[in-house]
Amino acid sequence: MTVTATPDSEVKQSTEKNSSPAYEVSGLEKIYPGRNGDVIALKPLDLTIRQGEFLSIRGASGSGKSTLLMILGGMAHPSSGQVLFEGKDLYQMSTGERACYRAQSIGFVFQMFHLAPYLNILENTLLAYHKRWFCSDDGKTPVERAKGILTQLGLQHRLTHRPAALSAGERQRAAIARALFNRPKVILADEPTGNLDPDNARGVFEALQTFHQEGGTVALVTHGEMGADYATREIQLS
Amino acid sequence: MSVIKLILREMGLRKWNLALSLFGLSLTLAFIISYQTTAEASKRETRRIVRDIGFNLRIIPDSTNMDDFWFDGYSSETMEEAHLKKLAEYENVFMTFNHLEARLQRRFDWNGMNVLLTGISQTIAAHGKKPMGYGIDSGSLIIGAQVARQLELKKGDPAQIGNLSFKISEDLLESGTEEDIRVYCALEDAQEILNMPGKINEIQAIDCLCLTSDEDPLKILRSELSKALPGAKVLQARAMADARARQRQLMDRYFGYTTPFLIVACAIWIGALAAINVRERRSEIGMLRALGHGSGKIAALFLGKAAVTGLIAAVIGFALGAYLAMSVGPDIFKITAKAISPDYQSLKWALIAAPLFSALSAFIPTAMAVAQDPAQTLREE
Ligand SMILES: Nc1ncnc2c1ncn2[C@@H]1O[C@H](COP(=O)(O)OP(=O)(O)O)[C@@H](O)[C@H]1O
Ligand SMILES: [Mg+2]
Repeated sequence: MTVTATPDSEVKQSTEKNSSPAYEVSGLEKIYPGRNGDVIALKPLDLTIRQGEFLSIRGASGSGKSTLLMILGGMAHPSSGQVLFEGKDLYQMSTGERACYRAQSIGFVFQMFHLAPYLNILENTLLAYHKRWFCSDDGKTPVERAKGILTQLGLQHRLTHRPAALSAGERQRAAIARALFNRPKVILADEPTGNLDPDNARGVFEALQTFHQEGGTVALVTHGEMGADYATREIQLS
Repeated sequence: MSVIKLILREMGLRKWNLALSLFGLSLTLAFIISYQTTAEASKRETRRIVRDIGFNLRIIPDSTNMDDFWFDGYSSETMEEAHLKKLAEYENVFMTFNHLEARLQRRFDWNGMNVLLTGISQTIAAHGKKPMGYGIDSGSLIIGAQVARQLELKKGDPAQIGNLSFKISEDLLESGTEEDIRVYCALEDAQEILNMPGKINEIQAIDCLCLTSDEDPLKILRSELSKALPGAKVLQARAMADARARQRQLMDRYFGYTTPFLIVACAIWIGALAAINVRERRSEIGMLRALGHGSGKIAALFLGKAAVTGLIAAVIGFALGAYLAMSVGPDIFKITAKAISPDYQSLKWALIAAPLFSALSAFIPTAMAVAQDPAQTLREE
C-alpha cells in the first residue's frame, strides 16, 4: 500500500516534464525499529525527480523530509523500496561507490551549516575537493575555483576567516560554496534557511536558483513560504 | 587539503584536548625514560666499579691455611677443575653470577725471576653478558710490568717456560701491585708447567647480588656452596656495588609494579580524550561523509592526530625524562650525577613507540568515528 506523491499533493507543476529523470524512487520506506514499537521515519513513497527540476519538499516536522534527503544522498539505507539515480540503483552500489556518487554528483546543504570550525572559509570549501575527480576544464586550480565560487556568493573578503567570525548568512553561503565546488548535478538542501533572517534566506534561495538556472537539479526541504517561490514543483509529505 | 594539514589545524583549534593528551603521554614517557636513563647509568657505574675492584667472590679449597693464603695471595691447596662446571651449572639456584673463572696460581722461578704464574680458564659468562677480564689462548702469555722489565720481554716476543713455547700477547702497564710480577697463561698451560693436571686453586666470580637485601648473601652462599662444592669455601671481597645494586633492585621492582598501571592509565586517558574529540567532531565527520570522503580518511584524521600527538609527546617526554633523571636520579639511585647523561637511544625508541601507542589508544574512538551514522548527525536541527 504505497502512498504516492500524487498530482493533488503537487501544488506546483514541473516545467521540466520532458527531461530525463534524475531520481526514480519507488516504494521507498524508512522504519527505525525501537523498543516501544517501530518509528516510521518515512511513509511509503513513489517519486520521480527530473533533471533540472527545482523540487520543494514540504511536510510537518517528523514527516520524514530529512530522512528522504539522506536516502537520496546515499547516506541512509531505506528499509524497503529502491532509489535509482540516472538509472542506477543507489543501494545496490558498494559503500565506496556511493561515496563516489556523493563526491561527484551531490552537493549537500544543511540547516546547521556543518563547517569545520578550525578551517577558514576557503579551506572549508576545499574540503569538497577530490584530486581524483577534479576536472579543471577552465584551467583553474582548485583554490582558484573555490575563490571564484566564494566571490560569486559575496564572500571574497571572508576567505581567510573562520566560521566563528562569520554571520549565520555568511556561514550558510560558505556551506553552499562548498556544495557547489565539485560541480554537482544535484543539490540536496535540508531547511537551509532555518537559522537565517529573511534577507539572508533570500540570498541562499537565490544561490540555489542560480544553480538551477544553470541546469542543476535541486531538492529543497523548507518550512517557510519563501522557498516555494523558487521551486518548479512542490510535494508534501504527510 | 592534506590529512596532515587538517590534523595540525584541528590541533591548533582544540588546544585543550591536545594539551591534556600531551600531558598524559609526556608524563608517562618521562617517567619511563627517566627511569631507563638512570637505571642504565646505575648499571654502567656499578659495572665500572666492580671491574675496578676485580672479582668479588673467591672460592678456594676448604683446607686452605688462611695465614698462608693471605700471605701468598693464593691457596697452596688445590681442588678439581670440574668444580668450575659444577658451580656454573648450579647457577640460578641460589645465585646468579656475571662471570666465573678458574685459576691456578703458584710462585714459579722463571729464568731466575720469582714470578706469580697464573693460569686462567676460559671465562664462563652468564647468559647475555660479554666476558670481561683477560681471555687467554693457549700458547699466549700476558706479563706484568716488572716481569717485562726484568726479563726484557715485550709484546710480540717469543718466550719459553719449561718445555712449552709461548708468545707474549700483552705486557701490562705498571700497577704497583702484585700484578706486576704475574705471568698469566691459559689454565691448561699452567697445569702442564706445574704438573698439576685437572687442578685449580681458586674460582673467582662476580656475583650479581641477586639475593634479597634482607638476607646475608655470604651466609647463604656458604651454606649452599657447601652442598654444591663440598671441599670449597667462599670469601667475599666486599663489593662497593652492593648498596647500589640493592637500590637498583628496589627501583626495578618499583618500576615493574608501577609501569603497567601507568601505561594502562595513559592508554585510557588518551582513548578518553580521543573519544571526546570524536564526539565534538560528529558534525565534521558527517559532513566529510556527505562530501564523499571514505572511512580511510576519517580513520586517518583520528589515528593521525593520535600519532602526531605521540610524536610531540616523545620529544617533550624525552626532554622531561632526561631532566628528571639528572635532577632526582642521583638521589634515588645512589649514583653520582655525572654518570647520568641523556640516553638518545631512548629518544629514538620513544619517537617510534609513542606514536604507535597513542594511535593504538585512540583505536576504539576512531572505530566509533568511522562507524558513526552520518545521517543522524546531519539531520539534527
Ligand atoms: N535514528 C532514528 N531512530 C529513531 N527514529 C528516528 C531516527 N531518525 C529519525 N527518526 C524519526 O523519524 C522521523 C522523521 O525524521 P526526519 O526525517 O528528521 O523528519 P523531518 O525532517 O521531516 O522533520 C522523526 O519522527 C524522527 O524522530
Ligand atoms: Mg528535518
